[in-house]
Parts: sequence; C-alpha cells; structure tokens
Amino acid sequence: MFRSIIAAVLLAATVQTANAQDANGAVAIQLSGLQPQGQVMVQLFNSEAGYSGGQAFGATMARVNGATAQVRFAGLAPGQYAVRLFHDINGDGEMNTNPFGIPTEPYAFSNNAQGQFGPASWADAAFTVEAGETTQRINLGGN
Amino acid sequence: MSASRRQFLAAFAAAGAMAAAPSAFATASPWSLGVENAPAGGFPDAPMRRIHGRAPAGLEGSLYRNGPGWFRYGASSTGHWFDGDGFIQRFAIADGQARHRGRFADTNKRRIEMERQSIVMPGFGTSGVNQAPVANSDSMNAANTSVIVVGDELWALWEGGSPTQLSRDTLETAGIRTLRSDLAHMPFTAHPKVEPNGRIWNVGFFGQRGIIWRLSPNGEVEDAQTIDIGQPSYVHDWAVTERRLIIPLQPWLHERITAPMVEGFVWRDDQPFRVLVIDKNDYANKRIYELPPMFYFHTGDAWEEADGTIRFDLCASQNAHFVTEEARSMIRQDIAQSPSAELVMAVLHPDGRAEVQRSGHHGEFPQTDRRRQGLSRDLVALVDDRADNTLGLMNWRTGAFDSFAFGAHQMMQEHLFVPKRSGGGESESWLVGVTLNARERASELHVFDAARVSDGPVVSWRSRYAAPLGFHGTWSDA
Repeated sequence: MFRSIIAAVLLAATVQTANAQDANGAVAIQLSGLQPQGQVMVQLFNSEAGYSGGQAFGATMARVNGATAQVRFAGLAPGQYAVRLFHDINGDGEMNTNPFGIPTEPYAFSNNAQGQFGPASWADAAFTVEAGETTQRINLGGN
Repeated sequence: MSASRRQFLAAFAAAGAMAAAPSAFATASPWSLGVENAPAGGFPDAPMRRIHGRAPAGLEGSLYRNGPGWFRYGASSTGHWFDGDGFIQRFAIADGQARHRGRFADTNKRRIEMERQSIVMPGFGTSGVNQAPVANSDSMNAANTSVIVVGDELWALWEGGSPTQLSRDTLETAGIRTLRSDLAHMPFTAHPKVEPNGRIWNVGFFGQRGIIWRLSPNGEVEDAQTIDIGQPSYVHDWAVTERRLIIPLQPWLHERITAPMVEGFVWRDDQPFRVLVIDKNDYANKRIYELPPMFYFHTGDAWEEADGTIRFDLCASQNAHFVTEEARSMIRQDIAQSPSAELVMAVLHPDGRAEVQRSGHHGEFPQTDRRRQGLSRDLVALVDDRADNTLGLMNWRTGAFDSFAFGAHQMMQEHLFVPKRSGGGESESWLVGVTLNARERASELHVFDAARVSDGPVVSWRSRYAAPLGFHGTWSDA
C-alpha cells in the first residue's frame, strides 16, 4: 500500500525546497509512541482525489531513534491537507502485512483519524493549513 | 491505499470471530448472574470452602478457565456474550485444599474501554463506536475464549487474533504473544489440538482463507501455511486424527462484511455440512465429505480406524439461532430458552460416503481424554444446561450414558478429563469442572470419578466469588 512512498519521497523533496521562497504555510508532524528503530515514512496529500488515489503531493521520511520523531512539510499553499504514514520498523521500505493482508507495522493518519476497518477517510484526516506553521501530533502507541 | 481496504476489512472480520456456546439458558433471572461484570480488580487468591466429600489422593494441579467477564459500563454494553473481556480464573488443588483466583486479561480493548468507561471496540456481535482505534485484529482481541499451557507460559486464546500471554501463577498479562513477526495478528483458534507427543496444531480463519499452525511443545512455530477452505464457513472448533486435520464447514457463511460481524453471516440450510479432511504431511492432499446441514460450535475429537473410516463427535443443533439471537439477548438479560445441541458422531467412510449417528443425548462443551487426542476412544463428557443441569458421560462403544443432575439452581460449565496418577484407561480419570450456583451466588468446583459419574461429585468446593459463566479451560498438573 505504501510501496510508492519511496519514489514519492524522492520526488517530493522538491516540494520543500523549490517552493520555499513563496512559502505561505507549513505543517510540523510530531510523532509519539514509537519504538526506537527503523524509519517513519510520511505522505502528504492536498486533495481528496489524490488521497483516495494514492497520489501524494509530498512525502518524506525520518529515522526513528527514540519514542518521538518529527517531520515537516513547508511551502504549502493554504488549503486542506491530509497525512498518512507508517513506521517502517525493519527498514525494508515497505509496510509489511501478514498473509491475510493485515498490517504488521504501525500506521496512522493525520488528526489521529481511524478508518472504519479501512484507511481513515479524507473527511476525518483532512486538516487546514494557513499561513504560518500548523502542528499535527500523531500517536502510534496504540498500534 | 484503496487496494488495502479489503485487507482492512478482512482484519476486522477475522478479528471478531470467537465463540463458544452452552446448550441453552433458562429464562429465570438468576442466570443473569452469569453475565454480570466481574470486579475490575478480579478475585484475589482465596481458599474455597469444601462443601462435600474429600479431595482424592494424588489430585494436584490447576484448572485454568477463561470466559467473558465484563459486559457493560453503565448503559453502554457489548452487543453479544462473546464480546465480553477475557476473565481468567485459576482453581488450584493441592494438599486436599482448593483455592480460587481470577483476573482480567489486560488487553488493548480493555485498557481503552476502561479509560473511556464505555464499550468502544467492535467485536463479533458489537458494532463499536465511530473512530474506534482499530489498527489490526489484536486491537480488539478480547482474549476471552480459552487457555492453554505452553511450556512455562499460559496463553489466553481468542480466535480472531494472537494468543495473549499470562503468568501461570498471578494471571498477570505479559502481552500479545506474537508467534512469528510476519504472522502477527493472524487468527489462532481457541481450540488448539495437542498430540500425545506435545506437538500443537491449530488453525485460524477469515472467510474462506485459513492458516494451519504447527507448533513445537514449547510454542515455537515449526510450520505455518495458508490454505483455501473453499467456502466462508464459521469454524470455531475442529479436530485431528493421527494423520489428518478435520475442518468442519457448516452452512453458516460469512457472506457480507458488516458491523457487527455476526450480521454478515447467513444460514444456508439448502447447503450441506461439508467436512474438509487434510493430510497432515501434505496439505494439498485433501478430501471433502458431505453431511446434512447442521450447526455446531464444538467437536469432541477425531480418530481414524484401520480401514480409513474417520469418526469425530460434535454437538449439533438445527440452526444458528443461539449465536445470532440468544447470545445477544442474554447480555440484555432477557434470556429465552434455546434449543439444545445433540451429541452426534460424524462418520466419514473411505468410499466417500458420510453419515451422522445420533446419540439422543443433549449438551455442549464436549470433552475427551486428551491423552488420546487424535486416537481411538469411547468416552466424551458434556454438560446440559436444560432442566436439571446435568454432567453426562457418553460411551460410544457401549451406548451407555452415565450422568448426574445438579438441579435447577446450578449452571453447568465445561468439565475436563484429568488423568488419575495410575492407570491409563479413559475412565481412570477425574472429571473436573465448575458450576455457578445461582441460589448461593457462588462458583463451585467439582471433581467426579469418570468411572462413576452418577454417584455425584467425590468432592465439591464453594468459592467466595460468583464468577461470570466461562467458556473453556485446561488442566495443568503443575
């Protein structure tokens, strides 16, 4: 499900740099409840269509060395965004699942939104970015 | 992400699947005692009072039992008996004395619901709230169906997810017992089968997909393979012979993913009760037999005769009414009488024919001498909650049925075979089990001599506690 995230991470580096000059918004994503290993893989979406279709607007990753980690997206036009992420505990770049397709690595969505036995909906995960910095605090401790 | 939606749905549906059922419940309100919340702090270890007889010499060990023990926070209640939080009890017999303690499995589900003081998580017959924090099947694992001692560990079993590891002594929860990291959150039924050599077989299902687990006596995964069972039957219990795995496929089919899960099952009595038989050494070598439609939760055990005939007993009823209706209404405490299951023997012939032989005796929670798991045997014990609340012992070879009726005030629960220290015959066993005495508002522990059930218990102890009705247990000599 997150297989495209590596490519997205590479492409999305441009979001943070190229648009930096006319930056008018940013989101800091503060993660807690982590096991201190591996990396978190984070995707940012700027539309419901992109979210539903898995077309990330931006992506990034961060090493996990403690119970918390932070990533940041800058240069964001004001609007609605959503984030999905997973903790790649074994560092293989993929969200691992068991043979029945149930994730075996922690995952989460912005607003700590929960899916109704599926991914969280755009309506539940979407948050507003305005000028300045928005903070999303996401806890993965319940996974 | 959309491709994974099905997978998440699978996780949900697999996770709710846990069950067990007694034959019936009387309408009288005293039985509501069986679905009251146990104290949140459990039952501190306490001596039981001997009320009858004397402990047999040489009977030493512990009966561990599990079952749903918490159902409601004020007006917020589970939607189904099978969704109560796992409450594990230990009845320890030593030096002629008995002691009783109980403790809740400290599951993710229970922690969240205790914090919010409300039923939150979805389950087998419970819808759960919007935005319930369900990450995987173990998020809502109630750890409430059975227990097994594996090496030095005690596992509380559910069926939609992983075992939960507990202390054998204090019953304190250590956490989810992931058997192998790539198999986290896979279903593991509450009815593992332990061969006489200690090897543990188990299965787990979601829809028509299954997993066959083979574990060492110490719980290490020797092998785990997924299989397709061909139809999305509800499989709570199953059986093994020395050479084969027996998976009954009843026509209660999981046709729709919905919350609560139980509403997605459909009873199809125009379809046969199929039995999938798989070679233990070659899972591709399998065969299907067909029996008339019937509903079951529990099997006794299976064995294979010299000519290849396979036999296994089960407690069969006409339909799924108990699980779809009665087990929900009992939480609302408007309990109605349910038709009892009949003990029957399924016979699978080498030529492909199959038949059901009826015993004429009713009950549930069938138990056999576990020294003979997968091997030929005569006896099966069961309890009947209708009328006089009876412990019965069926002898399939002679047709004899030896029974003892406790009377209307006693709610019967599973009785286990415990081998005597000497002698290897099936009837050289104690039958050890628990009743809930509604008149005394107390749990009782009873020991019968399997050779003389109708004589009544050789010893009975009464607890100072009244524990909610449990499902299944295990005996440990240690």
